[in-house]
Amino acid sequence: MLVLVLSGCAGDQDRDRAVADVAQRFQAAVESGDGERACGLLAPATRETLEQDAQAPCAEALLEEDLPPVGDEIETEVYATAAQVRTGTDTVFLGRFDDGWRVVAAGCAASGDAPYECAVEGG
Amino acid sequence: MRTFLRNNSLGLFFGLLFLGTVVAQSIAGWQAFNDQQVGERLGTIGYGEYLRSTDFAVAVAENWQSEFLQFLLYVLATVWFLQQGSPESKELDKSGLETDEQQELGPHAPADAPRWAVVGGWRTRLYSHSLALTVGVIFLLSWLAQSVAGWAADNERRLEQLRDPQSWSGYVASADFWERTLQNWQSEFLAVGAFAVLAIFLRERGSAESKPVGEPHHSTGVEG
Repeated sequence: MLVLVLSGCAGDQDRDRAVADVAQRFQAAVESGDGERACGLLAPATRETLEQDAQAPCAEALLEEDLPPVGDEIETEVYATAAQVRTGTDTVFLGRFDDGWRVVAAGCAASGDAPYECAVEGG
Repeated sequence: MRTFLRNNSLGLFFGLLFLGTVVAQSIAGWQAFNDQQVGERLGTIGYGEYLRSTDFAVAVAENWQSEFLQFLLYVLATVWFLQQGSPESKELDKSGLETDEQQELGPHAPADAPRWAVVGGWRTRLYSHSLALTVGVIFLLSWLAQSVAGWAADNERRLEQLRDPQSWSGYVASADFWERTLQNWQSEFLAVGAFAVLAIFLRERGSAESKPVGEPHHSTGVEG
């Protein structure tokens, strides 16, 4: 069991790259003004909360948020179905769903040991 | 075959119980994990993935480490500590490592004694403590597994809460690690202590863990 646990925790470079890729594609879509593509990379709950708070479609509401541009200083932390990607310009939280990794929260600022305060996040 | 089953029925019984309950635990744990994920509007996982998950690993490891710690302390404590009237205790004049004659070592060993009980030297010294050493190693390894699996499972939870993950050294100093550890330890120590005392006054006819029904309360170290 110890071997299983340690080998599982040794990390998966392909998985980390896939997670970072989703975060960067999200940032690129926002930066290029492609709200639809960016919303397609959001977690369902995050998309719903955004539309509810803004009282507007996701593609429109998302581009109203002041989200940072694409960053390329990638640091990825992945634990099972949850991930955090620091891009140098932003800290993005992701979750794994049936159709792959999706952005749970973006535009996040650290708040000590408390949860990050994020411009876009699920309810 | 029938003789084999009869003569090994205790080990087989608990072995089968263990297999059945660990499978049942994995199913219940998988459902509980996914239920929590649904509640937090996050993705669910399949059964195969749950079996490989740190959530399942920590649930198993935190129980294993406490059981083997219980065995370790019980094996060692019963060398020196006594409980008058308990079948779990040695007789009151036998505290300590006892004589070679009492332990059937060297020239006092029967013809069919384990070889390392007879040869002397480091082999006999090692074999004389092989039970505590083995149980102790299993305890330490399963506690280490609990710490690693628990660290990963806790970091998954922290990320879901939009918090930074923490290091392994930070996790082993954390409340989550020690709460999991101590909740298991307290129940193990309670069970062993309570059993040692209850068995002074109560009986279970035919059990190897009980005194004979008619044995006096003050009688110590007698099982039947």
